[in-house]
Amino acid sequence: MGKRYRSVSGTVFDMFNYVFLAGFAVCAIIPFVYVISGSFATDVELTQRSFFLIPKTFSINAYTFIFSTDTIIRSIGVSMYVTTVGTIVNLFFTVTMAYPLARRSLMGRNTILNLVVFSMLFGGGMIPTYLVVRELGLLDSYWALILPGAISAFNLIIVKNFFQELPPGLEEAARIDGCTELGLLWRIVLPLSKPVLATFALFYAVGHWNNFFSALLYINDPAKWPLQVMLRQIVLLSQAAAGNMNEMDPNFVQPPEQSIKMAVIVVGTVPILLVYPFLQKHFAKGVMIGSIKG
Amino acid sequence: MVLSTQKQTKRWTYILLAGALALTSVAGCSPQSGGNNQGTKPAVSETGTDKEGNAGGAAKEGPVNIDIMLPIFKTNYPKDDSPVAAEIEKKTNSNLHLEWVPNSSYGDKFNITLASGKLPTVMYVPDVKSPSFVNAVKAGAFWEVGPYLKDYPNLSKANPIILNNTTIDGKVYGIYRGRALGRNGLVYRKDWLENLGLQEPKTIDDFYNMLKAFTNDDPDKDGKKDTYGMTLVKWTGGWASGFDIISTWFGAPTGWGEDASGKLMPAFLTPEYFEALKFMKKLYDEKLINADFAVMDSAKWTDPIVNGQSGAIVDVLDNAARINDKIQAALKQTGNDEPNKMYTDVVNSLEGPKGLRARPTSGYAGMLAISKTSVKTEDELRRILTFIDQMSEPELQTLAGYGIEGKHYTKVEGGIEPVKNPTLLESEVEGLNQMLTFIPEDHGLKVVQTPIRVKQTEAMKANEAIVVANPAEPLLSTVYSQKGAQLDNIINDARIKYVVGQIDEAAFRSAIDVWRKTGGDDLIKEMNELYAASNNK
Repeated sequence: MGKRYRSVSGTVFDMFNYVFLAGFAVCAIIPFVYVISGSFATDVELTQRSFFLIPKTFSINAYTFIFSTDTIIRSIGVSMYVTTVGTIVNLFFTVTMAYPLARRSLMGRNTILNLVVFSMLFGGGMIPTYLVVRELGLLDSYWALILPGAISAFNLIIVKNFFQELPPGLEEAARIDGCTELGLLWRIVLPLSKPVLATFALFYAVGHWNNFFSALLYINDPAKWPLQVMLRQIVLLSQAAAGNMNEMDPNFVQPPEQSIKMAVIVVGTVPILLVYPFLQKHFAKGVMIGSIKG
Repeated sequence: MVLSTQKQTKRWTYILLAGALALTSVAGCSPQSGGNNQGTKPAVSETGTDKEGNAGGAAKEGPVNIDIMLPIFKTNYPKDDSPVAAEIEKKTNSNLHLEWVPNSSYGDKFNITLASGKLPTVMYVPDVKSPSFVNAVKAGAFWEVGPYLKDYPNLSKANPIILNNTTIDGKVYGIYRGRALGRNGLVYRKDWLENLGLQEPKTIDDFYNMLKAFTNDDPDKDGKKDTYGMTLVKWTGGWASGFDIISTWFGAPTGWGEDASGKLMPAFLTPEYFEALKFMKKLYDEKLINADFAVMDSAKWTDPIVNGQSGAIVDVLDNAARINDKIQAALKQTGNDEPNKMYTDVVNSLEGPKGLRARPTSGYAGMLAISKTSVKTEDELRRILTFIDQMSEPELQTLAGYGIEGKHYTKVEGGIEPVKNPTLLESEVEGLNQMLTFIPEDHGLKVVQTPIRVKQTEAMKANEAIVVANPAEPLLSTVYSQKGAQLDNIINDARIKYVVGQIDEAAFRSAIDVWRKTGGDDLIKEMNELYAASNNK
């Protein structure tokens, strides 16, 4: 008998697991399906039917409207640029700071580490940070979205711990073979840290992609707004419209159609969904600290 | 050997760290040279000074530089050099720089701009009573424009009630953007009323009978009992004010009222308010309003009436046209539309025990404040005020509201017709109207008015004569800024519970006692002191 014996209770447990997880997955997917199908429905249908998964009407008006100007496309470009450059900058600085800090021989290592931890507990707050960014002349520059958060203290500590866990023997062996210090980092340490790098690349990238607040504060030129600012603008407008009519002029401002809101959400979410599956497999390995690695 | 490697390691780690630091600073500096917007800023802040240095013209002043911060509702926005903005600059002899801020985040940007100390020339202030603005005013960041207004042909005609509403400690620190005072009222389905053979409601009793018929007598004639009288949404005070409007019909004051001895007290302490509350309970018990009103999102307020589930809402009157448009759009899809038929109708106010009364809005949507940091002298201030005053000319109102004739709209009988190109309108016109103050009124050209639009405008005008102003509107209470949200919650909770039958009258009264004890009494005391002080001025 090649088959292993399975108890009845084990089977029931598995069944329950499958049903539970499937149900959970459906709960997570349905809202998204609703948004996608809503973006293809007409506005009339959206008001009339409170919820549906398949629209009766089909229209691509919302998408035509979105792409009728270069505003959204340009803001997608901005978001992609900031995400790509930002993530590279993040990884570079995180690694170049974490690696030295992983060395016990570094002088003042504890002081630096304490300063890093201090920055996790106490922050300057919105206005002082704004003033710093302004004085550095970063206003209206994409660097204002990248540099103030170039290193996340939390991520830095995890990466540093990961570097510390690497067996010291590797390092010695490399050095005996004549490897320089930079070569050691580039040829030995980084290749071994791929899962960590992939994980934090994703963390940072999602952070950049979703970030709207710093853009709002630091970017005055609307041509440089990233996608999330646009998205928030479109999605929140209809709430303002219903909530505080007095704010608005009765004749002029009309909230955007529901379907346009949904289409913008789809456009804003798809890129990050496309990246995710490629990095996801590194996840479990990457963020594991201090336990036994298989 | 071992020692030297250690040294080497150390050296390298330092070099890496130093490299990281150096790169940070390099990257930090580089955009400075690239940020071309920075370069233009100083020129803009020196508003008014004639920098253009026009060679021959000694008589004519150069254009005034105005850096103006406004909310934008769309994702496209008119740029500084777009045709309409350029036309405005030409007509007002100004040099505009428009700083657009997404409306959804205007508050944050506003606060940080105030805190940074580098203010644009003119700034839209969304909430005149917000602590950040009041503090900035007290620190002397903005010009007190009150005394100057009388010198300008349009601004001098500002409405005194609204002006009073915008004051801080009795002084005017900005030019309000006027809105209809009498904007609140009843919107209902006209076709349903006709189906049922009823007359337009005149009194609260008529209103009740109409809601009852809308619920029970099959107003949409489909043979099913699938309709109800009126849609209400979450009550959160201030806005979503369906109930508050009704309470004014019943005779309750707007927000605060004077008692027999001339002292201020909040509306919910009056017997009229409680009458209105009992009326709401009756509506709820007879299922004439939606049972889920306490959790209904205000963004979906008009959906049931568009879909033919509900027959009325009590809210701003201009909803009538919006709902009518949506019903028409839905009918158009099935090919049953009659473009000139009115599916909705409005009633400005319903007669209650104290006759016709209407709940006013504050009459303004924020104001335009002029900063002292970028406008240094009185001469400059006067030039900015001239600009704002000029923007109230009919010609400029039309320009900022609808753009250039032939390009953004065409003149037709009875008004104008905007071109059917939302993208063009958004990127060249829409948003510019945010700098209009409509003082004394909107006398620019208007889009061709549908019958329902004509009627709702008339209703708003009719309301203006019967509005019950809130005497406490200009008062700035410290207690309220600290505990206001909490205090409002006590009353909001209690009235919802009373309407749905979870508590009785005695429990409602004891909720008011709780309100008094948690700070309400202090609030009343403070408000009365402020009120007395403002009356003695």
